[in-house]
Amino acid sequence: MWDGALTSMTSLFRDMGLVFLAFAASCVLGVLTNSFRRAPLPTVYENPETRMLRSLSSAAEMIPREPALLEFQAVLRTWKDSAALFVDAREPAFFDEGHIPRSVNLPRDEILRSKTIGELADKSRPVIVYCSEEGCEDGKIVAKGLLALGHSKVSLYTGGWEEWSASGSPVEK
Amino acid sequence: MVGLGLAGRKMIPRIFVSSVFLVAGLLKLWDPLAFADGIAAFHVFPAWSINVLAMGIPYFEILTGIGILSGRTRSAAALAACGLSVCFVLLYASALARGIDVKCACFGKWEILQASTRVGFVRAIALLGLSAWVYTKALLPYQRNRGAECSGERTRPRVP
Repeated sequence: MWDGALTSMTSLFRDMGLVFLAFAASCVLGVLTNSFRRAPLPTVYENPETRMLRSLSSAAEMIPREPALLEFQAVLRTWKDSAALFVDAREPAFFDEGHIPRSVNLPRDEILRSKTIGELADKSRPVIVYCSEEGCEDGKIVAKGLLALGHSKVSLYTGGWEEWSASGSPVEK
Repeated sequence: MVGLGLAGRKMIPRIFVSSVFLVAGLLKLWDPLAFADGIAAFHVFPAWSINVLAMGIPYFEILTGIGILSGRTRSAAALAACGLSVCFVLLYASALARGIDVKCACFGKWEILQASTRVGFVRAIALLGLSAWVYTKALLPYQRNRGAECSGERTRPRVP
């Protein structure tokens, strides 16, 4: 009986060794052949949203058009005429503290969500993107992202929230 | 089962398990990105390991499928099939326990074969049962041979 059990254990350990070797060889083979693929997988996994954002950013970089830059007076006039949709590129916490009335919040990491925002469905509608201040990069990224997504009339309000709120213009919370 | 002898009938589970792993491996090899997304959907593996698994597991499954059909490596391949099936069962069980709806892309992007978490769990258990059956049948010739050696007979392992 013991002999039979020993035989089974020996064959089990032999099999386990073979399985381990085969698994290691498969991983090595997979990594090696990956480099010959047309679209090789990166070393570290990226989720579909990150992949899309990355391709979107590279598409945005390739776009020769820059968003038009707008000064405060032009922005105020447009806002009064309700002639454009205002997009706040800041994080939701800052947006909740106060924003330009009738604007929608679209942080850079959620740019793909723009497809679900009803106000952005019409891609020919003028859009004015703003951020916290002049040096804020997020406004530029969101504006270029919207251009990459097919919006034709995208402008960037350079002064941003800081200039708007300091001017005593209406704000919404 | 007219026309099939005992050996032929014993081959059916082997051929079935082997085909499942071969087809699954080849389809994953065709689209490793979909498989990587499938692995990530379980929210179990760290990001650095997902793509390595997505690149390696298809080859491992193909080797397992071929090994089950061959004579010498059958028990090791069947053990690999059991190991993979246990992993699938555990992953699906954890997904069910956490209420995650998983599309594992176990058969690539083929929507028709992408099962819900519950169906995937049942499928993994069925595969584990069949793989275990193939493994026990693969071990039998060695045990018979050992028994014969102990009683003074010298025989070679019978590999159907």
